[in-house]
This record gives sequence, C-alpha cells and structure tokens, in this order.
Amino acid sequence: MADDVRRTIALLHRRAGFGLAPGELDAGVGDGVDATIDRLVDPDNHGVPPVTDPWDGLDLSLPDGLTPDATPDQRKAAQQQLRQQGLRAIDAWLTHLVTTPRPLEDWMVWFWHGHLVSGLDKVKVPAMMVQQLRTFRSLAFAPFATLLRAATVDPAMLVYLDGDTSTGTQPNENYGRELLELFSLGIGNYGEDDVKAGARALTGWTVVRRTIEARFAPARHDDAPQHYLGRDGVHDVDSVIAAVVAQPACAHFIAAKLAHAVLGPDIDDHLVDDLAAGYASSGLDTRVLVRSVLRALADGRGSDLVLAPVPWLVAAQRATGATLSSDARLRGLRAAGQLPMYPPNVAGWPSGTAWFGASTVVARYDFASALATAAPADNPVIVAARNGDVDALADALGRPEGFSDATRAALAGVHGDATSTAALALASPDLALA
Amino acid sequence: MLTRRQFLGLSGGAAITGTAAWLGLFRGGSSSHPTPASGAGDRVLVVVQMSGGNDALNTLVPLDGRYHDLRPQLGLADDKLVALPGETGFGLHPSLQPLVSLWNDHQLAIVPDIGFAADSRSHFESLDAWWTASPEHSHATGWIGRWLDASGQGADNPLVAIALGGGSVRALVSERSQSTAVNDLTAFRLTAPKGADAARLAQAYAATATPVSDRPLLAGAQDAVGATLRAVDVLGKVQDETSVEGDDPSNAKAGPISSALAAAASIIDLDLGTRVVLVSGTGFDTHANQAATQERLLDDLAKGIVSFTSTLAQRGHADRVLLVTTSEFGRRAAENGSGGTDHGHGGVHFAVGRGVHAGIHGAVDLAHLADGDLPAATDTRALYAAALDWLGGPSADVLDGHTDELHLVAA
Repeated sequence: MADDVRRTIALLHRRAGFGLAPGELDAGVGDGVDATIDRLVDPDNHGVPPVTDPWDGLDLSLPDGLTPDATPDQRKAAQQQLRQQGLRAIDAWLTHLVTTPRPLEDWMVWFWHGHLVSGLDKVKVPAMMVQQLRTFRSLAFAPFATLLRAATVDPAMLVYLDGDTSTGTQPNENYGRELLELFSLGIGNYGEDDVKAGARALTGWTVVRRTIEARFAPARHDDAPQHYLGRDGVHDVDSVIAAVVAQPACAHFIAAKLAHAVLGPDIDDHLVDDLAAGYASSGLDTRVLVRSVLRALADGRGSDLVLAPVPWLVAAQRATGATLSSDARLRGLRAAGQLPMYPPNVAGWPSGTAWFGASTVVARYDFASALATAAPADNPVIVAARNGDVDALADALGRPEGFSDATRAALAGVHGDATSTAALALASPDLALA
Repeated sequence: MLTRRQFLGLSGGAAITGTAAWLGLFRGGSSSHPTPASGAGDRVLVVVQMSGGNDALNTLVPLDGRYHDLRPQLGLADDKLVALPGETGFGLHPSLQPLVSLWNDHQLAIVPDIGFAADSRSHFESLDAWWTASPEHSHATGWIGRWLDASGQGADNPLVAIALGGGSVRALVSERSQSTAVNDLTAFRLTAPKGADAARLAQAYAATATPVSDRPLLAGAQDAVGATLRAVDVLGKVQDETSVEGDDPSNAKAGPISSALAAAASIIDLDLGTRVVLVSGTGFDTHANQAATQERLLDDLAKGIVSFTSTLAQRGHADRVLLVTTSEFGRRAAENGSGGTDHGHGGVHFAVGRGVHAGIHGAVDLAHLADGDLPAATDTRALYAAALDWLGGPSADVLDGHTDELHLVAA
C-alpha cells in the first residue's frame, strides 16, 4: 500500500510535471495522492506561492537596426542580438522548469507551446515568444475558448501563421487552416470552405512590433457574414471562436491530445470518450479535464509513455541537482531534436517512438555523462551510486518501482564507479520512458 | 500508430542476443563492410525533401503571360529567369543558375506539375501521402521502407538507409527492415564522464539492451541502444570528414541542404552498404514574403546539388548515384496578399545523375487550372518508380502498380 502510494506520487510528477527534486517524493507521500493532485491542479488554492516570471530581468528589448533605413551591417547586428536574446530566453525557461514549485502549471505551458504552436525561426523576436508563453501561463487551466481566442490574436501567432498580413481583399489561409486542423477540431471535422470562410472572418489583425501589440484594423477586415462550420453570420474573431468550440469534435480533440500526453498512447478509447464528455459538459473547463486525467492516471489507467528530450533533461537536472552551461544545454537539446521555441513545424514536436532515433539516444547519453559529472557529491543519486545501492538509485531518480532486469544487470558492469553508475542509470532505456 | 515491428524497424533494432554477440557484430561491421555487387546492386538513391510544400511556378517558370496575371507582385521578371539551352517553354528561378551546368551535361530531368491528384491541402495529410506513396492512406509503411522489405536490403544493415536532418523518416517505416535517423552529424558522438572508463561504460550501456522487455515501448528503447551504438561507430568517420561548426545552437548552419548533401557524399564514399540517403530541408511553406525565402532555399538546394555531384564525380561514384527531390503539395497558382502563396496541388521535381533521361518531362497548362491549382498531371509515384528502378526494383509491387511512365531513368 505504502509502495503503491509512492509509485503513484512519482508517476504523477513524471507525467504531470518535470520529475522530482530530492525530498519531493517523500513530501508527496506524506501528503497523499489526493492532496498531491490538488496541489498540482490548483496551486493557488492549495498554499503554493506564485512563481517568479522565468524571464524576469532579462533584456528582451527590440534592438536598433531593424528599421527600413538601417544599413545591412546594422540589420545583421540586430539579428544577431535577437538570436542571442532568444537563446538566453530559452535557457532561462529551462532553468525555471528545473526549479518550479508549480510543476503542472509549467507543464501545461509546455503542453500549450507544443499544441498552439509558434516558433522563433519565423517569429524572430524573443520578446514576442515570451509574451505568448506568459499568456499560456496565465491561461494554463482556463476555459479552452478563452485560451484559443487569446492564441488566435496573439502577436507571435499572428506572425507565425501570417495573420498579420491577411487582409480582406487577399486573405491568407495559413492560420484559418491550422486553427481547425491542428488546434481545435482535427482532419475530417471541417471542409475547405470553412478554411476559406474562417480566413476571411479573421482578417484585419496586425502586429505593432515596437510594443508587441495585436491591433485590429477595420479597414483591413472583411466583415461580410460567412457561413462557417454550419453557422451563418460568422464575421470576426469572437464569432469564429464561438463556432469552433461549439463543435462536438473540439472537446474530443483536446481531451484526446491531453490524455495521450499524460496517460500514454495505448489507453482505452472509452476512457478518452468519457474524458471528452466530461470536458464538454464542463464548458471546456480545462482544469476539470486535467483533474480527471490525473485521477485516471492515479487509478492505474495509463500506459507506458516515451519521454521527449526536454522533459527528460529537466527531470534529470531536478533529480541530480546538476547544472549545465547554457551552451551545452542548448546544443544538446538541438542535437536531441527538441530545442524549446524552435518546434520543427506548426504541428509541434513528434511524440512516442520518434524519440528512439539515434540522435536523441546519443544526446541523452552525452547529457547523462555531463550531469553525472556535475552533480553535487551529496545529491541522493550520487550517494546511492557511490554506495552501489540500485534500489535507492532508482528511487532517487523518481522510479520507486526499481529498474528493469536489463538495467540492473548492466549497472553491475560499472560497479565501483559512482559517476559511471549515475550516468548509466540516467541514460538507461528505463528513464527514456515516463 | 505504428506496430511494434514497424518502429523497431525504424529505430534500427537488430535482434541482439547478448553483449558479446553484439560486440562481435559491431567489430565485424566496421572492419569488413559488405562488398557491393556490380550493376544495380551498388547504386544509391539520394532523396532531398523540401518540407513545407515548394512553390512550383516560381521554381520552373512557364513562359506564358498568364503567369504574370496570376502573380502581379510575386512573379519573376522574364529577364531575370535562367534560360535552359534548347528549352523554350520554361525558365528557371535565378537561384537555380548552378543547375544549368547539369542540364548542359544531360544530367538533369525536370518533372513539372507532379503530385497526387487527390492530394490534401493539409501539410500532414499530404506529407503522409508523399511518404507512404498513398493518397488514400492505405499503407502504414513508407515507400522506401516497402522497397527495403521487398528487396530484402534492410534485413541486417541499419545503415542501408540513412535519414539526415530529421523530418522525413516516415518514408523509411517498414515491416521488417532497418534504418538509421540522424539529426545532426556534428553532435553524433558518445561522451563519457570526465575520468571515467569510456569503453567500460559503453559496454555496460550496450548491456541495457538485453534481456528484451515484454513491454513494447521499453523494448523499443532497448533496441535503440544497440542500433545507435553501431551507427555511432560507423558514422563517426563521416563526422570527422564533414565536421562543420555552427556558432550558435539555434542557427542552423548556412545551407542545411548543402551540409547534409556533403555528409551524404561522405557516406556514399565510405561504402557502408548504404543504398538510400534521405536529406531534409525545411522552410518551403511560403505563405508570406516568399520571394526572399525561396531565393535562399533554392540557392541552398542548387549549390548543394552541384557540389554533391562534383564530389561524387571526383571520387568515382557519379555513375552509381541518382538524386531526386520531393516535397508535399505544391502551392496555389495565384499569389496571396502577403507576398506568398497558399497550399495548392501540382509541384515540380528534379532527378539528377548520369542515369537520367535529361529534359523536361511534362507541361504546365495555366489556361486550365483546377480550382486555382495546377492539377498534378503526373502522379508522384512515376518519380518514385524511376527512383526504385534505379535501385534495381521492385517498383510496381511497392507502388501499387505505378511505373516509370515518363522513362526518367535508364534502368
């Protein structure tokens, strides 16, 4: 029983957070499963203090040299400054994830970043991406309609999917399509005419770069009533969002995506249907959905799940207390295939067995070596490795159920070398799964 | 959802029966690579994927006044176009100037208005159709993966098919074959902790692969260990040869397609038994400001191809390599209001090598657009069939009966 609780608490933190820091698992076991879920899902009302902003104090001001009259050299220097700002912003975010006392709130920001996708490769201005992530934090558990409206007219999104250049005379379909296909309904739940009508109704939004502000310009907008998703009279962002979230497919699409991200790919379809029904009847209250998903996880209804590089690395840093240079961390994540703020395309990062590719495996191995080297000598992972205590090592890495037979046997091969033991445990196939 | 067998194939999972056996295989593999038979048996296919949906009409520009009606802002001025000697129907985008030398050497075949007639305008459905060669989504496996299975090529060498730069590995998904995907060769190196016994750690790491778990995902993670260790051993040699240092991790090196093609040339030169190399470039989804973006991307493509072919020629491999380009859907014939083009249908693709029947294979009819798009008059599978015939086939079996109807290659 006590073992079950310990395993459940660890599982909750691995799936709905970024792993466990030393002492966190013991504290969670003391609180119990229900209190842990409450604290994760509703930190404001369960005594968890607000977190500081990850980008507090970072200079993300727009550099000079981006105006049309700038010389090529000035423009090049400004672009270089923006790239450096971006790297600092990504690193600050990762550092925050390692230390956050609100792991699920941050996990939701990460989830929305991978769902309502924008990327610095096109947005270019880090302050814009940061503003979007701040919006995702403030709306992490908000009703989906509120979040989706905010994302639709978010400056970074307007740039990333070309809403800011879409006008009534020549609408750009990029956002209108991805809104339906990737963000809310999924293929098969809308027609090509809906893509075009939605694009028209969403015209008129532009971005003021200097202030990072979305602004609605009526002269650029096509206000003609559109027939959209079976409704008449859709003509602006509010009526578009209202039509989208009223589709039964919307609750199911979002519930399925979140359920698969937390519970794993091989879960019962009926469980997804039930979660979607609950989500729909709550008026797409995301906090209700998340709570139900965590409850299902605690009840043993999840499947195995592959960890993506970012949650793997953050959990490894949380457990070992090891820090890495910004350069090593960002280079490693790029090699692994998952640099935050640089999603590969508008669908976000792949999931599951895509992370078994050779590049990701090599990057994890190299990170494991660096982390085992950098971890403080009194960190529980290192202490257990030094003592050759394999069960304590697994527990300190958030795996109270222990390692697989293969990894246990392999660890014997580096017995007596604490650093190699810790590195091997971190790089093991066991830790590649959540 | 892939089956267990499919993703094991993708991650390169050889049946590993023990560390000692694995290490034996590992050493054998690096010292005595398979000697290719002469003829089609040592031919190599290189696929360059232009992810995002490259715009055809500004790549191969039809010399037709309607082009300028469709593209009043985005249209390339007639006097900027690159002429192809002997060809009067089309001009090339200025960035493709380097390809003219290949055209003059009869090494360049161009297929205008190619795609799937029933292609979706969704990136992800369209990519799925292109990678599986199945617009009806009736295959779970990729077109190259099916060839690996059908030809028996992928049975015991995970380096038989290598994807560089991520992105297009879905084309390699197979029932029972192996392949290797590498994002970035410059970072492809196992590093042990400072002061640790690197060989001992690597050997212990290899041991985590067995005994194989009965949990499919854990078994998949274990299989990836063995496949990765072998790939690192072999591809480390390529890395030493082509190492390029970027100055910051967000900024992909100048010319990602060129760099990946340079690595592909090294892989071919190492004679690892590699038959297929996939190279992925991104950024072709030009909804806005297409002029500047496409200029840069096509510049990378053209320079990369020309440098690749000249490297192969210097090292004596030119007769055995065919390069083809792929993408997803083409783009709308008319420009949009953002200086770009939205998702459409017909694209344009290239086949390059001494084995191609050079020339332009097809036409573009701007007077008869289909709902504002090029109609995709040539089926993508005609290009794929030529590519697989180059490798010695089979092609029609893998491609639901489609053949090299354009006679793009001399089989």
